[in-house]
Amino acid sequence: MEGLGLEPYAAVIKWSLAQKQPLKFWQELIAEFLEQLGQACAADEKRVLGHIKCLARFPAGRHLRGSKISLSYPAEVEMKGQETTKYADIKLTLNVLVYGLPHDEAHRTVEKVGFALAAKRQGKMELLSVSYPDDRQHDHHDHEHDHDHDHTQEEY
Amino acid sequence: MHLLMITGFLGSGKTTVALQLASACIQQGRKIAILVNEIGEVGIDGELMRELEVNVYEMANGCICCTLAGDLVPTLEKLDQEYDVDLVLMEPSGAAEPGSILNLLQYYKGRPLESVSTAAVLDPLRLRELYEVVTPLITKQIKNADLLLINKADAATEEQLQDVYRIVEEVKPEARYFLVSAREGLGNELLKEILPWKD
Repeated sequence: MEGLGLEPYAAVIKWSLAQKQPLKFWQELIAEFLEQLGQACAADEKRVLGHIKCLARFPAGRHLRGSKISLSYPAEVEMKGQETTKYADIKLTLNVLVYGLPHDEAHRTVEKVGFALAAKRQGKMELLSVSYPDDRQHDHHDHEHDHDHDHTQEEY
Repeated sequence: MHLLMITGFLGSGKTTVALQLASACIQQGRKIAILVNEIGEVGIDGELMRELEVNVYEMANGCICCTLAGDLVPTLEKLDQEYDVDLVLMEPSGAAEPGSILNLLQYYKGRPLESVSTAAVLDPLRLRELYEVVTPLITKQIKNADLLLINKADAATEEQLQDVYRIVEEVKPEARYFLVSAREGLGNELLKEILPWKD
């Protein structure tokens, strides 16, 4: 990882389906999304998965919290709330932290994986917002802490 | 006001540990605030922590050991002035170098901190892999910790745990550590050890 930059990428995405589905369904969809996203983001063996994490919140404190940290272990999605509650759409906040992955590639990968999973279920995905830092990278491992910069946020 | 910093690499389980600690403090009737730092632009951990109904201060879009370093001390001073909290739980980003954060505390001008302690969360499932590719950061996280929490102990193999012990022995042989499965709780013994009050 030495020398690999970290370009944090964040997005808010929305999946919509024709019919309401229980949280369990969405839990499985998110797990599949994180799994495929992790595999795709770290397909280049020079890259290292830091953390891909996401959160979907629902009324009354319910949530789905997902995490993918390694290609060697499956993505996990923790569910808080009743499994039987049904929703036709969910909004997911996503953070992609992969060393060596440029943010524009992270963006393309999120789109590709997310749209494909939605299509597979006859649904649709929208990217509600996307944000990433500017072209200055983070490298927290061998620097001397002499950079002090702001980030910009871009809305697609 | 005490300060407890929970460090550890990305995905090691810092947020889960912080949530468990926060819940324990609330149950003990303590007033706490959480200062959470995320390197990503959209905070996720802070959203989860707010469900506990405690004061959560989120510093996103950078790292408090460098890019957001200038914001840390003013935030702590604000906490000191505006809230009479017993404990500030600080969760830096997983890419943060704890030594740099501790150095920043010399500029803090609020009421004297009663204690400053650091617990590092280690993930045995991938510590060996990470240690080989990001040695300086992992080393600093272990060296700067007063206590190590070897998390995900329920999922780790004996070989993986032995690997962690070897790395800890190499970096900080005198380190004190606990095996935990933070999702399942932290246990009274660890809570007594890690929380600053002894009553």
